[in-house]
Amino acid sequence: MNLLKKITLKTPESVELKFTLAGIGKRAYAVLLDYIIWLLLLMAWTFISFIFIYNTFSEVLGDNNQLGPWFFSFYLLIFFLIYVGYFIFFEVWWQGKTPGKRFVNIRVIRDDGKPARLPQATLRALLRPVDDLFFLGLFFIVLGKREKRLGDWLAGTVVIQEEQKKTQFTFSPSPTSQDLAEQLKNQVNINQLRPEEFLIIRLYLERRDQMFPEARYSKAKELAYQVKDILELDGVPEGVTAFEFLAAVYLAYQEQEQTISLEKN
Amino acid sequence: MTAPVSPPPKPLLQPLNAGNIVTITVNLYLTHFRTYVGVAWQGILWIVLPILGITALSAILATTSAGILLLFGLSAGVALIYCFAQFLTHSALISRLAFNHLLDSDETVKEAKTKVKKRVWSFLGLAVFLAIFMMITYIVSFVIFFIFIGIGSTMLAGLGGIANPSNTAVGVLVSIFILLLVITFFVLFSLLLLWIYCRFFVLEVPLAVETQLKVYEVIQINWNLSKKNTRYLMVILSIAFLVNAPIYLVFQLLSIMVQTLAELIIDTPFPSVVVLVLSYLLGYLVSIVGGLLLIPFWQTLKGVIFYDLKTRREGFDLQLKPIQDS
Repeated sequence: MNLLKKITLKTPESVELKFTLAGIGKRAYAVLLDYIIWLLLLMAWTFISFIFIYNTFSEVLGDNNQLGPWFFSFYLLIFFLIYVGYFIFFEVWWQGKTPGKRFVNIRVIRDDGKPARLPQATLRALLRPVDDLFFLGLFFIVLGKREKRLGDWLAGTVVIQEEQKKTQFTFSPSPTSQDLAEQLKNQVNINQLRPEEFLIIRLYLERRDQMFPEARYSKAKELAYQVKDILELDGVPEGVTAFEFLAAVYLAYQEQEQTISLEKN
Repeated sequence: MTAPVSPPPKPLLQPLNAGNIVTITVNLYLTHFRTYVGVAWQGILWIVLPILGITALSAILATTSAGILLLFGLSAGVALIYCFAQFLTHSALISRLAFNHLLDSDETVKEAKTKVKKRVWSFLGLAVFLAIFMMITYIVSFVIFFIFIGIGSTMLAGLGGIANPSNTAVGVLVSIFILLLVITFFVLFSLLLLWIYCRFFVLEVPLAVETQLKVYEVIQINWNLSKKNTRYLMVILSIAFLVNAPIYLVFQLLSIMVQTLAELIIDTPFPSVVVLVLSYLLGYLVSIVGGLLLIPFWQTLKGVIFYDLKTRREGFDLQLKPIQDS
């Protein structure tokens, strides 16, 4: 199933790198956020400078406003810098990420896998108005194999998804689960559980808080019975909830893994 | 000693995020374009053909007695309701196909259709439920609104009246108060509608996927799945709308063009009836083609969102054994 497009890039050293492309959804989301921030910045700058100009000229300078045009040009200059520089600045400073891209976890890189720099960011920014015209860029991204808009073609860049950093799964098991884990280690060969099956148990423990209560309960029961069969237990231990049983299996398996890896080292 | 080992089930797609949901929808839509648009086309025909037929028949029957005409009107109404139910069923079918594709258990359109078609009236029931729900929402909201306005302005007027009977400021105060209330109400009401829309966005999809469900169960499932995920759904819908914008734009432009054309023809000294009818037909054609392209997209999105909500809220993807087909 290729639900998200993938690409393989070749570095100058002939190393192949695999990436998942950002996809139209994430790119549209990022650009939406960026345009909102960008607009707010421009509005804020306009607001601040007009208040400043108004106060300065009415109080300090009085009627003598020879300096007025200078301040106004300064305002325009900064406005222009924000207008043009927003995307360039962030894509260079944050290595291919604007605030919007950072939020949705995507990044601009060069065709050879290196991070995008000033020339690439500039070319992308220059072509942005063209890509926005009649949603031209959108068509290029959706229909193209490598999801490049015109700016990407010219700059030689692609936009990719970043691996989400897995937050360490912290889990505080109940005493019942801990006791049961000890028992299980002596009773059964916990290695009958395959790594992918262990992963499912872990995912359940990770995500159970988001599930709705009945599903949380019935899913635990369903998984517990299946795990019981896999471990060839005669029955589910009495006086233990399905959730506690799963937590115990998780603990027992995890500790076993740790001892194995310690022995290897 | 060991039991025969079955291969581990293929890992299912885990909970996604707003961006990837839209990307996957677009990719599914493009790779299955002919299938999904084909189904949408059948659905649209269920609406277009009966309307054309009834129009033609009523033209023929126009000269007959009132009794026959009444009978014809009644039966035409029932027929149209059934046809609308068929349209809903075909739309739901697209969501089912998309959902099953994510499950990696593709089925042919024919297979899926025989399962979904058994529930034609239930799809209509769901639509009726939503319509009634929305109607009640409208009525209750407006009643509350008018109660607030009534109480508020009476109180303001009363206070002003005690202080100074002939005070025009009271009038101004009351108008400002009403204006503020109207704005607040409008904003809150739009948010409420959006919220309801999100809560029932995948309304018919559970039924399309699990055809044995009862109508009230489907509503319950919707409620449970979308709980705590409303804001997430709003983000998804915004992105989907943005990605859809070019298609809307094209069809907006086309319909404006057709309209201008029609107006130009009317303005000529001797408008040709044939050309006029043709231009109106062209207008309908534009909206039909627009629906043909957009309905599959939104129905695919519903299928993908339903899958995602099921993984989030039910841990649907957490399977130690392959899923048994229902």
